[in-house]
Amino acid sequence: MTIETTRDIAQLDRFLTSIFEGLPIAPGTICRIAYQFLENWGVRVTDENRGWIERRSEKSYIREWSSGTKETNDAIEKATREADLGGNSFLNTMVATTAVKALLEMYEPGRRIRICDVGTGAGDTISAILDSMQSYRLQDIVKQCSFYLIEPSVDRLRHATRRLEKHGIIERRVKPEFIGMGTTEGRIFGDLKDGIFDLIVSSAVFHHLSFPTYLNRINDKLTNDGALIIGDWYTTIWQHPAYMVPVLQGIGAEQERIVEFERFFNLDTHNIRELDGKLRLEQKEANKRMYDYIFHMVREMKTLKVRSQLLLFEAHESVDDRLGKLERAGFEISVERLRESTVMKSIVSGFEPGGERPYLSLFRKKHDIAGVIPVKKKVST
Amino acid sequence: MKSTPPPGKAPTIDSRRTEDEIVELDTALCDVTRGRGIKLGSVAKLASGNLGRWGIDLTDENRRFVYGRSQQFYDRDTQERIDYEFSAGTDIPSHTIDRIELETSMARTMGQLVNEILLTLVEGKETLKVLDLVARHGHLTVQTTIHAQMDDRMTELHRNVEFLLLDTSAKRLRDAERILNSTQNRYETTTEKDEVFLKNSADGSFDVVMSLGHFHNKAFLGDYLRELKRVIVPGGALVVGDFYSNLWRSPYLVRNLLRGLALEDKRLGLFEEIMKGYCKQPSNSGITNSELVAGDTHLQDWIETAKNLGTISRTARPPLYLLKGHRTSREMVDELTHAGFEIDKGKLSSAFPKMRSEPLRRITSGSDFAVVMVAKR
Repeated sequence: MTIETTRDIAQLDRFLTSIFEGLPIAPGTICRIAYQFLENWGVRVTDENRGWIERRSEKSYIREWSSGTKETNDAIEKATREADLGGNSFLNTMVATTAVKALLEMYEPGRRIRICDVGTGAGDTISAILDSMQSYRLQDIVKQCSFYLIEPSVDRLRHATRRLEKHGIIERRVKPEFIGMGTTEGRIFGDLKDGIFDLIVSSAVFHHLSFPTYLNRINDKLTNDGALIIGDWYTTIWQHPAYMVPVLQGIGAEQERIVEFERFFNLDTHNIRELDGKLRLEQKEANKRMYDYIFHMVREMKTLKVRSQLLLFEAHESVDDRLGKLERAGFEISVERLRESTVMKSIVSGFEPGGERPYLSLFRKKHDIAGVIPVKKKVST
Repeated sequence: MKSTPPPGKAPTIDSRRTEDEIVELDTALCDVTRGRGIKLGSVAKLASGNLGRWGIDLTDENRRFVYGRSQQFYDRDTQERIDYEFSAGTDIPSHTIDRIELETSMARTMGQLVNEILLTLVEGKETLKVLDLVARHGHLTVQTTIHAQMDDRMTELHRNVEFLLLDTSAKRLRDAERILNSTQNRYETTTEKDEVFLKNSADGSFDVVMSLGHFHNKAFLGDYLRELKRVIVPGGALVVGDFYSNLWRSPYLVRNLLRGLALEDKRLGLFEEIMKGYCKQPSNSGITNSELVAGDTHLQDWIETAKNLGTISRTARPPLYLLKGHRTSREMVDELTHAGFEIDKGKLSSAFPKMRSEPLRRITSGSDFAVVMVAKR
């Protein structure tokens, strides 16, 4: 059965909420998952309902982020450690060192370099970039940079700006610019003109964005020689409801609820085997790690004094899916062509020899769960 | 009973010199924070250079006792925290987000420095050995390996590098192992107390020793640094990231902190009575602006920590102790120099020509609070 109307989608959300009733974590709206998987969950995305689904997803994520506390952040960090994933600081380091390589290629004395961080949060990614630049004694480049920080939470933006302005690489007399930008109703870049940014970075953000519209906007705002550096976490467990059964089992759902869930989505024991058959070993490993992370996170949340507003469903996808979206949004993903580009020159030398994807794995390809994708705009010849 | 000063030396106001007097001081200070989650702790944990300002007269006779007492209390603190982590399944929330962010920046900076130093040291060597001293969850080693991934020379270099992570907590090292198992680096872990491990290590066991957020837990640094120098190969490096502060240099500053932690007037009065003569506002002459900023940052960090503790679920958590061995980065440089390390910037650049980074780096502009430094054996 496939549904299309917003009423039916809201009804599906209510059903899913009821399945998770009394469990340590609520699912959130199905609209939160990456849009290409909605069909597998029985939701057909149409021109009529797309806007509604996109807004529902966005509201859910923004509400979740606004209610974030130090406690919940600590719980997430601990869960990533327990799942052998380390944490976002390692991903940020990798994004930063890649970004600095691109900056070194862009640098010319006197040239203003505009860098945008999409989903700044507390400024961790820009802080990591400044750390790397300080390490390479790139104070001269920093002076020529304008950093645009995009973040829906005004408090976090304020904290990020204050923090970054005090970074050790900043010299008193000449500072780089830090321009904070909030977002309203998903208009990430506000009224900024096209082709303004030399470098756009983002770390652990895009798995919160269900539709790829943001990639088109990013492409518009990037210069023709600019670079987009994405650090993120990847998994396919939201791809199909069959992957939720181990989650329900792992977080203590009663057997009756699980059976109800399986009946609703017409699942049987063959589903996961069939789905896994199409995955590479690294992707299967990534899914295992994501399950571990979810179980550890749920366990941590049980110890919190105040019930957390963290929700289960996310917009993770595979690296291949992400690359496909980037290509459709007008980015160059061919390793061969990226090698020809000046700004990517020193970055691409870090790709796996013979590798066909512009992807730098955080864990040396043992599992595909986290890494950096560096791309640039596809320029028509 | 107060002792009389030796002949020829001017008497200090209520100075303590004997073991009994020092224990009596600690006991009296216990009452100031009795029943509170954040306690003063023992004065023996203060950096040895600060003891005089707290009325402790460090002599040849009492030095061994004070040293032993500081070790005893630091070991007990560490064990309490490890026991808590084991039983509660979580780390004790003792730091603010700002402090954690600074520590991450230091780890990143140190990872870069260590890799650049290793590039110099690798010539003519089959294996390079790096000790992560008091590694905790292995954050520093992992940051070092991630940096190496982004550069072909360093990726190649790491095939010749063996990391040894040392900590007293097996649980923390297991966290480190699980992450490092996902990388391709060679490493081992060992659960042992740092002093015991160093004593049992041969001369020149390591090419590089790195340590993050640890030295401020050492009241007496001289002998410790000399031991570190012994276990590092000649020409090797010590890379230190730590928090520096002069907050503990004067009881007056600590009284301000206690007031900021909302200690009642009666207890503040008791503190002033115990530290009579030493509770006057200290002169800032000779203190740099960045050191003043660091002291203020440290104070604010404690006040923020106290607020955060109030929001965390209680599970018989151990107390947090204020008095520690923090010093200024200048004092640290002096300690390193006295221990025989080379700290001169020009000489370090010559010794490690592949080191692109500054050998002494302040993480926050204008503040001495978080600093990374390199010293050459």
